[in-house]
Amino acid sequence: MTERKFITQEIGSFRKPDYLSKRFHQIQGTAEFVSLAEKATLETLDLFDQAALMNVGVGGEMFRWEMYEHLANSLEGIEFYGLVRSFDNKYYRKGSVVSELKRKSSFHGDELGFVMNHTEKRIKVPITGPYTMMDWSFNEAYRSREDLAMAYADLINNEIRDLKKIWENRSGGETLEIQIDEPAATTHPSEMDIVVDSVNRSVEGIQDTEFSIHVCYSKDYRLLYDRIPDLKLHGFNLEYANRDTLIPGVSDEARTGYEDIAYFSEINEEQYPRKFLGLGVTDVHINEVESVQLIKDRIEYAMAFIENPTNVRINPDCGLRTRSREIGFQKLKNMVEARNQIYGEY
Amino acid sequence: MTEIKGLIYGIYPKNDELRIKIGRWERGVLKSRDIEREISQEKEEKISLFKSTGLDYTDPLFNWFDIFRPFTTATHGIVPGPLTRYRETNTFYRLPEVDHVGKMKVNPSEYSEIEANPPLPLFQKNSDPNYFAFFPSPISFFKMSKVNPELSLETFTSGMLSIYSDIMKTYGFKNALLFESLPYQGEDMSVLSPFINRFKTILVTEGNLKFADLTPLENRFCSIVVTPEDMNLEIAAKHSSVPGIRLIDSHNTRIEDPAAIRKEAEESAKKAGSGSIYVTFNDYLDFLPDSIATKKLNMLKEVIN
Repeated sequence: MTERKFITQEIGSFRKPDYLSKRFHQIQGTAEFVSLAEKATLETLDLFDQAALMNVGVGGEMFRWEMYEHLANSLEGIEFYGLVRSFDNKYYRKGSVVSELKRKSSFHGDELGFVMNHTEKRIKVPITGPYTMMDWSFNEAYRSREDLAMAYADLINNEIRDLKKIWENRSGGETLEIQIDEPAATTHPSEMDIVVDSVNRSVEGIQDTEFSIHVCYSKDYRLLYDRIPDLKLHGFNLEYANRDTLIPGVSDEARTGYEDIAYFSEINEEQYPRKFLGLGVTDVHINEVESVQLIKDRIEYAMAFIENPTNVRINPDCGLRTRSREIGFQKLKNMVEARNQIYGEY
Repeated sequence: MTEIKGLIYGIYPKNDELRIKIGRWERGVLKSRDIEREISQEKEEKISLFKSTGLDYTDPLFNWFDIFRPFTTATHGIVPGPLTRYRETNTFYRLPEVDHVGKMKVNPSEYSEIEANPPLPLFQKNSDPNYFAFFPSPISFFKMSKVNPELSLETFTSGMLSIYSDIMKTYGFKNALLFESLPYQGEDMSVLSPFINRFKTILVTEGNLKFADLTPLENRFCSIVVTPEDMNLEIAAKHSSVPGIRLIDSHNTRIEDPAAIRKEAEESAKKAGSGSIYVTFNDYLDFLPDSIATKKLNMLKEVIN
């Protein structure tokens, strides 16, 4: 539990077993749902154990359908008028904020309580961030996008305080790890101040907690890196494998996906303490299971810039819900194996 | 008294039934011929609704997976690339990867199965004078694609306008609408001349028009529809018969007050020195749930009445 070098971690979601996914919406809110979500969580924790993953997140987010809707359903003030297209014939439920937002219930308290009673491993609770919640909502009620983001931030801050209370029952004295998920963080370059202010408000005044942010599929991570000094966070869990090649080796040509880690490190060098970087080493959008060697190459390439292995964590690019459980497991297994092989070299 | 005309354009949101049917087609449960029939029927119903409102309108494009897709997948020299964020939205399109612009691989006015998109035809046949055929402006199309560096905007635009003209001719359409997704950056708009010289064209623009060079145009547009920025309407009025303004929000479910929209439209027309004005949305409506799009449509109907 005290290991700090190359901690392997999940990002968040993992594919649900069919018995849960096929009936999720029909049984949500019932005792049967809780029972099946718990069963799926235990099975997923078992898979993570088999893969020897060090940080198991919350067991693959079996209690959540997806990152926006789960949180929105726990709030008063949001109406759903129907589905909105994401791409092709894929749609999502985008809520409309029609009045002041209030929490109806804890977003993740049940999930955390269950997971911490069933694993001794490190736990990290992903929470959809205030900026993304704002950006993915229609705003009918708040004066501005900033006001809405800050309203979400206040609710998330309250949620984290509640999770802290639940965490106090955990024996072992570990720190609660919270990951703020902000896939929308860099989509509006002119709004980076809102990203920073709302994320900081989400964590404001909360002590003895490790805070990280997860951002993925950004067109320009530099927008985020430039704000490292302003964000009151300990680490950054980011996607890189998706933008990389599958060519083996540690040349710049092979590792195009990781080239801007040099810039991350440049900014990070001025920070005390340094921020950790959660390095996305496996692509959640392809079925190809990256070889152990390729993952090692990716880590080695990044280490040329980061140097200190306690500042690097090893994770998939994003939640593995996009792949089958079998492929997701293989990807995690290779990721851990690559980490173990490289461990002694640093 | 200002004449206010309404305009609805671009991809309109599908209802749940059609969305589910397209999902069944994607899984191979429904045949391509059958989904084409279903889409066509839904289009006809929506077009009837549009006609009843008195607005000018385009096809609802229920079989376009994004505003470039039929051209991305069915044109020689263009292939679909990765999913790419559409502007600053949470909606994605397949990045057109352009080597050159050839001819279309199929007759787009007839039933044809194409890659990564429901089957064509592109549009329903329509001889209504209020109908305009929708096309993505080649200027934004070029800027939102990954283009062979040796291919110039002029050559790309010329190729796409040739395709659009062929489609107009095949269908027998007289009116067209070119939709600009991105702001101008100093482009010479005369690249559009060959098209607007032949067809009555509405150009829906984005951003500040002072960055577009409209002076070399040989003919006026039927309308240039603009965002409400300083001097935009004045420029639009100079280069089109009826200027237009994008006042209704396609990215928010809040329903605007028709009286307030009407007042703003009247004031805008007066400012531009025009006796008439088009009022429309700030984007196509596919960013909204179907139920809200219908309410916004009814609201616009109240504005023009």
